[in-house]
Amino acid sequence: MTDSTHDNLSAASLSVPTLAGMPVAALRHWGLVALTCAVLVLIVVLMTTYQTATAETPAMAQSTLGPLSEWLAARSAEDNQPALLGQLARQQALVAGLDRLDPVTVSDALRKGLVAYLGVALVIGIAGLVAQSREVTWTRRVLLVVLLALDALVFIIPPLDNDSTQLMLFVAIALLLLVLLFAPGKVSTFMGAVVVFSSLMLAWEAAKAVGGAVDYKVTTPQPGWNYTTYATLDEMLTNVQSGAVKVAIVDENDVENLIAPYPEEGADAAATQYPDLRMLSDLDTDANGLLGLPVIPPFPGRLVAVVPAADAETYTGIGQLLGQPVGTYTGAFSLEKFLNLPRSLVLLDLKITNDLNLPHLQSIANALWQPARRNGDLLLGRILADSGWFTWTEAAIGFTSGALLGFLLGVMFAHSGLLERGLLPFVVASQTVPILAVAPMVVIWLGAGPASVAVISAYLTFFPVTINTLRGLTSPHPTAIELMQSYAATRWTILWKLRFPASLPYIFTALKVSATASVVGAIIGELPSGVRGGLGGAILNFNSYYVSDPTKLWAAILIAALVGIAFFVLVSVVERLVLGRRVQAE
Amino acid sequence: MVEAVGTPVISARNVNKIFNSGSSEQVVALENVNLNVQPGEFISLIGPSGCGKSTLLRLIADLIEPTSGDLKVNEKPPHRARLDRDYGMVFQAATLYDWRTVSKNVQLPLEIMKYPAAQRKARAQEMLELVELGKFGNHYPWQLSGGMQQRVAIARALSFEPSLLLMDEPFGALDEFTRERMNMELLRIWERTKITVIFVTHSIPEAVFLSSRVVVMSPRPGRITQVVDVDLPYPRVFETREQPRYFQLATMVREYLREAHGG
Amino acid sequence: MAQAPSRSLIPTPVEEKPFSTRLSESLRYYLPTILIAVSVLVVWELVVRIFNIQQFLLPRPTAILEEFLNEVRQATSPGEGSILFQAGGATLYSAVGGFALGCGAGIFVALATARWTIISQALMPFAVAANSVPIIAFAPIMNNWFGLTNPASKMAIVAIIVFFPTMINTVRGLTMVEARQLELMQSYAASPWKILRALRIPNALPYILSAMRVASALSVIGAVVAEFFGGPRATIGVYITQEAAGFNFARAWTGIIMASIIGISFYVAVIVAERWLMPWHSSLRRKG
Repeated sequence: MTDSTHDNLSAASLSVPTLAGMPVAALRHWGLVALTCAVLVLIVVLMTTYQTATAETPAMAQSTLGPLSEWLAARSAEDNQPALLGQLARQQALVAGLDRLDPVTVSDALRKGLVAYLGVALVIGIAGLVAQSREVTWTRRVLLVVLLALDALVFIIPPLDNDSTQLMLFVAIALLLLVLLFAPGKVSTFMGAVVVFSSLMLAWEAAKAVGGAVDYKVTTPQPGWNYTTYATLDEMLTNVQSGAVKVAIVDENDVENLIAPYPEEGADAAATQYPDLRMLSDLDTDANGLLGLPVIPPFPGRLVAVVPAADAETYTGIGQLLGQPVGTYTGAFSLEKFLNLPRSLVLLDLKITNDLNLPHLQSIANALWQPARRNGDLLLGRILADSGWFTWTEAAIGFTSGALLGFLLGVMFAHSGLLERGLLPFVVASQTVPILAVAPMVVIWLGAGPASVAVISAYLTFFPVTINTLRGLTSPHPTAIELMQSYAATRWTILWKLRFPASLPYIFTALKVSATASVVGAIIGELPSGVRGGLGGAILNFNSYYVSDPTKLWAAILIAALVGIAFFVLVSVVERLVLGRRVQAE
Repeated sequence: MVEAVGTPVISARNVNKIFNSGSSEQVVALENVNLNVQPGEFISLIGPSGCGKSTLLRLIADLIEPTSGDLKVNEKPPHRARLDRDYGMVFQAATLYDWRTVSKNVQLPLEIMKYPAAQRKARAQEMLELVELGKFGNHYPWQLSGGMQQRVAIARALSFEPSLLLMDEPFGALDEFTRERMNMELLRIWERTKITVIFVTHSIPEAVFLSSRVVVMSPRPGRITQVVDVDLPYPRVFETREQPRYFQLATMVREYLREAHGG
Repeated sequence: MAQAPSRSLIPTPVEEKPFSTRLSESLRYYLPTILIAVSVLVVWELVVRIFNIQQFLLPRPTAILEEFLNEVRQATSPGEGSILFQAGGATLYSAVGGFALGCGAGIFVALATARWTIISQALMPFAVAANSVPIIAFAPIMNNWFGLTNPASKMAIVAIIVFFPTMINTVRGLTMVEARQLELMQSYAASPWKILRALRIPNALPYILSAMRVASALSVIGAVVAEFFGGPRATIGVYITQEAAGFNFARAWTGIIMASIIGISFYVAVIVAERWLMPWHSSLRRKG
C-alpha cells in the first residue's frame, strides 16, 4: 500500500491545469469577458434599430407598444374613464392643448422610452463588464439586473419574418445566461429562479422555432416503394398472375367485383374474373413504421393490396410489402397519392408548437396590453388584475380562517390524546375526499358567492396546519418539559412559552403549503359556483374563446400563476420576519 | 525528544492552518506544528476545545488542506496517501449505514476499492472476529449497543489493512465502563495488527493508558505545547491504571494542560 | 467456534404477539374513531329523516349507500357495466399514469442535478416557486393540446403537479447527508459516482417515499379536478359535476365515495411499497 517513490511536490504546488497551452482559469476569464462584450454589442444593435425606427416600422408597429399606442390615442379623447392609463393619456392630450393625441406621436414617445430603457440596460451592462473583468463578487448581481431587463423585452419585441431583431434579443439572453453560470459571486434564491425562468422562456421560443422550421414534424426519409407502372388495370393484374410483380396496390372500388377478398367472406373465388388472385382486406396498415412510429403518407383507406391466392396468407402487414416489386397503373389514385410520394418516418410530431397551441410569449404580453373587448375601455391586463385581486381576497379569507381552525385543532389534539385518536383519522380522511368534488354541494348550501369559495379554500388550508401544529407542539424534548415543570409552570405557560415557539417552524412550513392550496381552492371553487369576478371564471370564459384567441387564456393562466407565487412569497416573507435567524429545515 | 528512527509515518514541519483567512472571522486553527510519528506508535492528541487536534487529524486525512508548511504521510503528500487509501478513520459517531447489515457495513470500503465479492465477505468476517463480533454479521446497526457499533466502525476502518488508523474521540459517547473495556480492546487490536494509531481525545486517563506518546495541545492559536513519552510497559492491563508511574504521568499531562490553558 | 444458526435478515428482538392479541389491541386503539364514525352517520340519517330535508340539500347516508350498492351490483353482473366503476377505473388510470410520469421525471431530474450543485442551487428556488403555481389552471390548455377525451391531458396535469414536490424532496434527500458520512467516503477516496450509489441514494430513499405518499393523494385529487374542466363521461370528475348539475346528489356522493376509495387505495399501495423497499427504516420506527 505504501509507495516507495519519493514525491517532492507538496500539496500547495500541484501543477496548474491547462488547456491548449493556456491556463484554464485565464481562458475562462477572458472567455466570459468576451461573451459579456458580445451581449453589450447586441444591446447596442437593438438600441440603434429602435432609434432609427419609426411608428410604421414592423419592429415597432407589431410590438406590444404598437397597438398600445393606438389604444392610448383613442382613449385620450375621453373624459372620465375607468382605465388609469387612459386617464394618463387624456391628461397628456390636455396638457398639449389637443383634443386627442395622434397615434404616431404616442408611438414615437413610447419608442424613445424603449431606447432610453435599453440605454440604462447598456450602462448597467458596462458596469457588469467591468465587474467581470475585475472578478468582483457582485458581478452576478449586476448581470442579473441586465438579464431581468432583457427578459422584460421578450414581451415587447415581436417575432417578425425576415427580421432578426427578436433573434438578437434571444442570443443576448442566451449568452448572458452562459456568463451568469460561470461568473464570480454567490448564487441567491432569486437569481436561481430568474435564471431557470429565463431558460424556460428561451426553451419555449426555441421549441416554436424548431417546430416552425421542421413544419411541426421531425421526419427521416424512408425507402420508397419499388413499383412498376402499367398502362391499364388488366395489364397490371395479368402481371400479378404471371408473377412479374408480387403485389398490386389498387382502389378497392376498382377490383371488388373482380377479385375475391381474403380472408374469405363467403365469396366464391372461382366465380370471379381473376380466381387465382385475392385482395387483402385485413391488411394491418399501422404496422408500417419503426417501433410503432407513424409513416407519411399513411396508407389510404380506399386502397387494398392484390396478391396471388397462394401468397394471401403470407402478407399480414403493409410493412412486408415494402421491398416487394409492386404493380400499379397510370392515372390511378394509388400511383398519384401514395406510391409516388416520398416516404418519411415521423420521429416527432410537434403539432403543439403552432401559434394556436403555444403562442409566442410576445403575443401573450400583447394580449394583456390590449382592450379585452374591441374598442373597450379597459385593457385585458386591468381586467385580469381585478379578477386576480378578487381571487386573492377569497383565498386570503379562506387561508386565514383555515389556518386558525387548523391551529386550534392542533392545540386541541396536542392536549387531549382521546380527541386526537378519535378525530385525527377523520381529519386525514377528509383530505382524501376531494373537497373540490363536494364543491358543487357547498355552493348549493351557501349560495353562489365568495363565501362558498372561501369555505372551500379554508377546507384545503386547515389540514396541513393541523398536522404540523400538532407535530410542532409535541416536538419539545421531554427534558425541556420537565424543566418547565420544575419551575411549577402551568400547562398554559408551558404552551405559551415552550410549545408554541417550538412549533412555529413547523407551522410556517405548513402555511407555505397551504398558501398554494388556498389559491388553488379559490380558483377551482369559483367554477361550480359560477362566480364570474375571479380568475376561475376568467379562465373558463377565455377557454371558450380558445380557438379564436388562445393568448387570452394564456394571459389569464399567467396572472393565476402570479397570484399563487405572490401568496407564497408573502407567507415566506412573514416567515422570515417572525422566525428571523432561527435555523430553518427548509 | 523526537528521534529519527527509520522513516516516519507522519512528518509535519511548520504546518499552519488558518480558516477564513483575511476576513474578520479569521481563526488560526494550527500554528507552527512540528511532529514526527514513527511506525507502530500509538500517539494521542489531547487538549481543550479549539486547540486544533481534530483539525490536525483532518489535515493528515487530507479532508482539509494546510495553509502552509510541509506535511507528509508515508512520505507522500496527504492527498496521495488518501488516494492510496493508506489510512482508516473512526469518528465519535459510528456512522454506520442504517440500511446495511453489520457485515455489509464492514465491506463498504472494500466495495469501493473493488475487492471481489468472496474476498470481501471473508475479510469482513475476519475483521468482525478481530473485534469479537463474529456472530453479528447479519444484524442491523440499530440492534447493537453503542460500544458494539464502535467496534464495527473499527472493523470497517481496518478492513483494507491500512498502515495508519486515525481516531477522532471514538469512545467519547460511551459510558466510563464501556470506555475502559474499549480501550483494552483497542490495545489488543493494535498489538495484533502493528498499526500506527493517531488518537484524539479529551480524556487524560485514556490518553495516558493507551499511548506511547501523548501530544499536549493548546488553543488560540492551536499549537503543540508538550510531548510526553509514556514509558509504561506494554502490554498494558487493567492494573496499569493503579500504578504510581501512571498517576505521575497523568499528573504531568494535567499540569501541562493547565499551563497551556492558563498561559 | 460454533456458528449460531443463520439468522433471517431482519431478526425480531421483540417477541411476536399472537395475532388475536394484536387484533384486539388495534380495535381498542381505534375504538373512539369507529364510534365517532358510526354516531356521525346515525345522526346524519336521523336528522335528514326527522326534519325531512330535501335530498338536493343533503341526501341520506342510506340513500347514498343504496345508489352505491346499485352500482356495485351493476358492475358485478355480467353483460352490464357500472358507469361509476368505469369512471373510477379511468380516473385511477390517469392518476397512476401521471404519478409515474411525474415522480419518474422528478427523481431523474434530481439525480441529474444533484451532481452539479450549481444547477440544483438554481433549480430548487424555481421548483419551490413553480410548486406554488396553481397547476390546475393549465387544465384547459392540456385539453386543447391532447384532446378532451384523451387521458393524456389529465395525466399531464397530474405529472406536473407531482413533479415539483418529488424533485424538491429527492434533491433534499440526496444532499442532506451527514458531514461525517461524506468525510468517511472521502477517506476511502470514493468516486462521486460511488458516493451517489452507495450513500446518497439510500439516504434519499425515505425522502423520496415520503414525497410519493403525498404525491399519491395529489394524483387522485389532481385527476378528478382536471376532469372538472371537461373530459369523457366515464371519469369521476365529469360524473360528479354532471350528477350534481342534474340534482342527483345521492349519485354525486357515490362519485365522491369512489374517489375516496381510489385515493386511499393508492395511498395504502405506496405505504406497502415503502415497507417493502425500506424494511430497515420501518423496523426502526416500530422499535422506537
